[in-house]
Amino acid sequence: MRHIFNKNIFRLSLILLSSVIIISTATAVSIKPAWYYDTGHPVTKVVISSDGDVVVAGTPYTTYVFNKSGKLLAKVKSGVSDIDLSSDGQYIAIASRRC
Amino acid sequence: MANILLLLPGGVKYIDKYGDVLWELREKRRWLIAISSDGQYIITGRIMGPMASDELILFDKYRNELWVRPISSITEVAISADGRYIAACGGSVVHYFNKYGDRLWSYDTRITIRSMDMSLDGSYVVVGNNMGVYLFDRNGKLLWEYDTDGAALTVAISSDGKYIVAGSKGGKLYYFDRSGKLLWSYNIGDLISSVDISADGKYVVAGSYNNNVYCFDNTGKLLWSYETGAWVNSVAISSDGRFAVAGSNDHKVYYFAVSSVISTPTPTPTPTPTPMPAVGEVRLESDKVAVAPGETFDLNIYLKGNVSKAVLVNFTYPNLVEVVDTKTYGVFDLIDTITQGTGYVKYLGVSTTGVNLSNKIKVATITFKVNNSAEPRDVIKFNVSTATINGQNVPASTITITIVSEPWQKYDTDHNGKIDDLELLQAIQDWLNNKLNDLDLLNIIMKWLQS
Repeated sequence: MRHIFNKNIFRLSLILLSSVIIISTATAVSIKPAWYYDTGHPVTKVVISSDGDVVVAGTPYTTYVFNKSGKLLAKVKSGVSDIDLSSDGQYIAIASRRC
Repeated sequence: MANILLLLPGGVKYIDKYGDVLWELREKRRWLIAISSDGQYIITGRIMGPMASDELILFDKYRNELWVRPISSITEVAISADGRYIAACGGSVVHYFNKYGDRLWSYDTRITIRSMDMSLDGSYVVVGNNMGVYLFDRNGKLLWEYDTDGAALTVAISSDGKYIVAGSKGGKLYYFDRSGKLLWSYNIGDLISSVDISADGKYVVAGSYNNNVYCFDNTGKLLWSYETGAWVNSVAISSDGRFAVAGSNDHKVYYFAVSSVISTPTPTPTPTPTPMPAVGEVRLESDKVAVAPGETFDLNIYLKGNVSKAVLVNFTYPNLVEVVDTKTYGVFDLIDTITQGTGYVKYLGVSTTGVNLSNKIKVATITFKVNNSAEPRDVIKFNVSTATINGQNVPASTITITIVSEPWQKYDTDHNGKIDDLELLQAIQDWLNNKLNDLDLLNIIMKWLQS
């Protein structure tokens, strides 16, 4: 086996093979969302609490509040253009769209 | 309970996360808003239109208006975690106030500002305008500026102000340290609409008009991306970097568990510990869940309980392994008694007297070596036969370690009998670091090809 199988060629082929794998996987690491929610309107702004427990999403017509498992906690008829979130996640601030 | 401050077209609404209204302020203006960590202070920008100067207004959480300051063409507001410092951008100017409404400084960047963020304590303010990125300290000193590829439409700063990320109209993502050194950049190729950074700066998310959400680590490595059905308007990452959320023009909100991707597979993962009960418990933990013949692993023994008299832990394990080293901590002794049983032939005990273990404590580490006679798929089970604290039996965990022999099995971290891409990458990484020999890598690659 050894006299027909040069170690350097072996190493080189491994490097080539591995770099092909690295390149292919580096560009193709994909993720599936844990959940998603269709609001029926463009989602213009999202914020998340520090621990990821609360998510607020704003559309031009409605503001949605979710928990981390995607359960809809509140749906408020109020368009938003901007949302801010306190660093401890206790408060979420949403600014109205232009009226 | 999380409270939410809503600014409706007709005013401001303060609601809790279940949508219950706490208070309401009706006024037909467009507003900007930011809130302090404790929710005590709410800073708002009231946009008055072309006929009057816009206003910066600080409210307390009871809706009291604390002060009003004029700011022309207000576009951004921010407040420090404790509410002591406030920043606002109007046109090309950054303004910085204390909580009493005193203007501490202003700085004119001479170019329209597009984005702004503030570190948690207000020590640093990062601003993005149509030219680039600017970092200011609390005293209004411009620390540095950097010209970006098109307008810096979105900026974010880590909680401690150590790292800054910016996304440009030209589609470039920039990652700076506080000194202004560009640590890395990444060409996304299309307008970056939104960026966010975890509290420690370790993770960065970006959303682009090329429909993708991206997540990077602090070295600039692209951890993952996800393509939505339309351009991405907004992204955010939780402070701990574990969760990310994106809002897309395809009408959907997406929630990502970042940690499911960033937990790099290791050949021998540590079993996930479960919470200790309050009464007292014995916990066995191993640093590996799969070992090859000839390999060593550590078994750690943890105790918890209010112990005033004695602790005794006896446990048995099979003769597939032998003890090569033992270590005890504090006042604990290791009793090494050998007895003959069926299949499980040995036991070790840990004992002590008079110690208070109100917190979980590691009492011993035993290093085992797997015999060369161990066969693949053999299981080493550590069974706690007796665990007593103050003479009372307490719950104890059992631990199972699987013997593997094929090199690929060690890298099959999800135990699905296959080598997937990430597992192979880990092997290649180990091989490049000379932790794995060529033949073993070949074995793993062959398995990967079969999978």
